[in-house]
Amino acid sequence: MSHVIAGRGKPSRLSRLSESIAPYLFLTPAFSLLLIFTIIPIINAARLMFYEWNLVSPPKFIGLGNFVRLFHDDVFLKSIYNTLYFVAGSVPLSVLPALPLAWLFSREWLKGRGVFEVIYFIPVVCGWVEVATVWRFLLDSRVGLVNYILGLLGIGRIKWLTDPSIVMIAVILVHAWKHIGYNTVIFHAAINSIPKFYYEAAEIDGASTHQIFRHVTIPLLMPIIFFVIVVNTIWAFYVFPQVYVLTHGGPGYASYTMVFYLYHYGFIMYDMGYAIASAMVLFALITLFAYFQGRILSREVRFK
Amino acid sequence: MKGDLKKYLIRALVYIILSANGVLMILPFVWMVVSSFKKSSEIYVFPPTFIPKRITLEGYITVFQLVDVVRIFLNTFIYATSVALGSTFIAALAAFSFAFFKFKGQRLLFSLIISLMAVPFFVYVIPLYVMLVRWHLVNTYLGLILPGLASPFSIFMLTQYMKTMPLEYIDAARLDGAPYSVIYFRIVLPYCKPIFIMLIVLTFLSAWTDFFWPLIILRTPEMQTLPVAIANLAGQYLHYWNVMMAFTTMAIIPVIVFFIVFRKIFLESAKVMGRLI
Repeated sequence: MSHVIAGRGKPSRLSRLSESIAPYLFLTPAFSLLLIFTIIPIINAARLMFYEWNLVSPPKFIGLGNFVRLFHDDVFLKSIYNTLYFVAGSVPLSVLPALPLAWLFSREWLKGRGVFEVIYFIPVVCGWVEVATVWRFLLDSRVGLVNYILGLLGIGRIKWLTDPSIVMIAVILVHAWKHIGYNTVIFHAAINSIPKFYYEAAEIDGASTHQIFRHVTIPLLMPIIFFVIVVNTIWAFYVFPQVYVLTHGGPGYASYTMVFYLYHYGFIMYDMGYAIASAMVLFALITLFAYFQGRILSREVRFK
Repeated sequence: MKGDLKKYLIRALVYIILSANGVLMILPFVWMVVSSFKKSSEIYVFPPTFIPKRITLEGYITVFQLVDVVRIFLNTFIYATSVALGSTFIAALAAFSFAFFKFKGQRLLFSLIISLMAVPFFVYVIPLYVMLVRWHLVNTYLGLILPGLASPFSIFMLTQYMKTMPLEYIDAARLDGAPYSVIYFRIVLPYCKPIFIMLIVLTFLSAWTDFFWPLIILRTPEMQTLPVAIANLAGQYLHYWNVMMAFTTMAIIPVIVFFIVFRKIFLESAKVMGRLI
């Protein structure tokens, strides 16, 4: 009876047969759905990335043809560049400000902490499409509130969403605005879970508040900072709805990202094999990034 | 005395920093609501008005004329409820098996679940879409909902949680000869109530705000969910900002209310993620 419930209970009164199939029965709904709607499509994707396939004629094997075509397409290269630029900008901007904010949250004398937490978390729970629509209005170069406020400070009109050299910065800023609250709440919880005697020991040694933050709080938070950086990086690679709503990839191709490229070729052009190949390049990039980030950051954590 | 003054100044500064950032977080939503009550002409007034000169429902009325709002909300509600309840119950069944049984292939199947968590949706969305085209499930509730019903993440979370359950509970029931259904519904599920509710709430919200899949699988206006309908309207009426803000206000206010009602669960979920490490 290797399958006895909980591994150490008494033999069941149920028949041997039902006992042995029971665990599989409980797994059946989840695994049949996963098989049909996830596993089989994954296998098909791994195969069809080598095919030319436009839904009209049957898939035609072209070897690495899709990948050759991808890396000869300037728009795809631009999408890779934009995606990496977005990751490099949005991850520090959504993670770094959250640390001091969380630290301020953890001051014992602070009143209204719960209210602050709720307010900071509101952008996190709202949908990307709604949030991006509001920001598209706020960033409008003529009637937008942002340019009005900047105007009061003596800064001229900025074409946030229509100037190709600025548009990605706008997308990054909106992304950071939405994610800071999430990271702040995570860091705050982590700071609270640091045992008090670390701080007491540092205070007895005469450390200043700044020194305590730098030499006690930050090193103890390294594992959670690592986790937050990795999660934010993966999210940043998925950038899609914000681009779809804010700029629709424009002006021109100035804000094309990899998921937007995949959407365009998969669901507008119906160039299926080609779009799948572009998805695989993105997947490889994310996996590579997560792997190296994991190695670098875990080394950092160990030595601290 | 001098030390006290410095202390109070620092505290005041902290409140100012936190409040300023709070304003930054909330101001876009305030502006959205204010603008939604303006006439379209007032949107273009310079300098912008922070209280509408004439409060009007013009924006909201236009939304109701252009979009079948009730139907859109209903679609979104059907999608979010089915996926939230369905995926959590199905995940709980699988987790029950992983946490309390020993069977052949257990470790292999569990590592499969973990591997599937690492595969992003966009990797297999195209073959999935084509499959649903062949099955004539495009632009149907079934096509929208079915792929979301098995969530490796929920299975993983529930399994980890169930493993913390003291085995004595189950042993006692087993000795009494209770069938699995009793053990599952009367002992395991009540024990898992906190994480169970957390997953339902989180999945509900993520389906409510989901964009990529509904955008792809839904074709006609009467089938659309809120995010798709908003993006669609923005495609045609973008610069009618009072109309757009009225629609986003209608979509966002219920989400904010939902969040405030379940704020403990949301904030706790972020903290749980943090504590896992």
